[in-house]
Amino acid sequence: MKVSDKPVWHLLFQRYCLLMHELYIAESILNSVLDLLPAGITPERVTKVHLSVGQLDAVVSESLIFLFDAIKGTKGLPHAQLAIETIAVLCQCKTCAHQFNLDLPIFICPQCNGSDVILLQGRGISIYRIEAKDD
Amino acid sequence: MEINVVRDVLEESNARAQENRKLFDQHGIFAVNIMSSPGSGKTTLLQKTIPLLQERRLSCAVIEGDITSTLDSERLKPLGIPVVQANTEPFGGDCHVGSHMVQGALKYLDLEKISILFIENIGNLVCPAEFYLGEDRKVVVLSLTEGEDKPVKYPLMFRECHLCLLSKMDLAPHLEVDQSLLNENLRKINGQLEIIPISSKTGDGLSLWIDWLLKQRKK
Repeated sequence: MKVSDKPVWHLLFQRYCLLMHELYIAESILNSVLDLLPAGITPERVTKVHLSVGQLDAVVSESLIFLFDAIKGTKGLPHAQLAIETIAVLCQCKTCAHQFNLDLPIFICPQCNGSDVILLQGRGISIYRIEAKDD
Repeated sequence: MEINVVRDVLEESNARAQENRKLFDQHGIFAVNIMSSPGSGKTTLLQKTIPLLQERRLSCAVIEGDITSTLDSERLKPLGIPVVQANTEPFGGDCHVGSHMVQGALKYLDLEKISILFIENIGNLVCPAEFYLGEDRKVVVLSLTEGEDKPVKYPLMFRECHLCLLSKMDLAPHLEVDQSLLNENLRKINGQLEIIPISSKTGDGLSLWIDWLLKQRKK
């Protein structure tokens, strides 16, 4: 059986390998939620976890949600859904101080063509809100 | 109910990296995280680099990251230096060396006797770029056979690194790689990235790489 001239096992293996990065992150999110829950709120009550992900972080949202859903039950958070907000890459040119967003990963200042560009935003993965069912 | 928080998901990973950093500082170790695609020549580079550092009386050690097998650490054995193999899982574990793996590996090393520690990451241009291990410098090895487009396809890796070693330069006459386009692509991602073309086979460029290591170590 073949898909796009590649055996299915090859595609599955490729997908498995690529997902491993997100698996580590999914586990870290669930561990962080457990750590952040105030006393008196049981993990089963968590309904949503809001996450911000920098665009530069090479995280595939669909893969992260897929893996989060796959393992959340093992961490005692069976009802938690993951909501991901992607943070666009914002840069500043050190030569002319111009600030600009990147649509493509090309760190060149559109104003002066300078390549000494610092990142202001668009890197990092943070939980910023947890929703839980009321008693 | 809503609970508003700010928690870096990689906080635990970064905390362990900071612990590694502390150990490196305490023992005067210069730690270099070497990353690349599989097969770009990281292990061969170490095989050629370490004797040149030993000539300068610098003691080296290697943490060898692999998903599985001890093949790479066996290749380094003849150098007579401490090598710790850090495998993830026999049938495919993590796609990167984590700070906890470095922390575990450091327990097997006599830190007092190490001047330069190389961490050979798992071959992968995506995931290793994401994780800080406590290292002093990040180096990416990009072999000429991989083509001009890799910096643009894997921006985080080339954005994060301090140095790009362009390896397998001896193959240049046999390839149709546009080296000026490759340099331009590297510049587009990271204007501050230093670039040294090398060939581990012929030894070309290795002295520049050694000079870079020695200079960075003093900083």
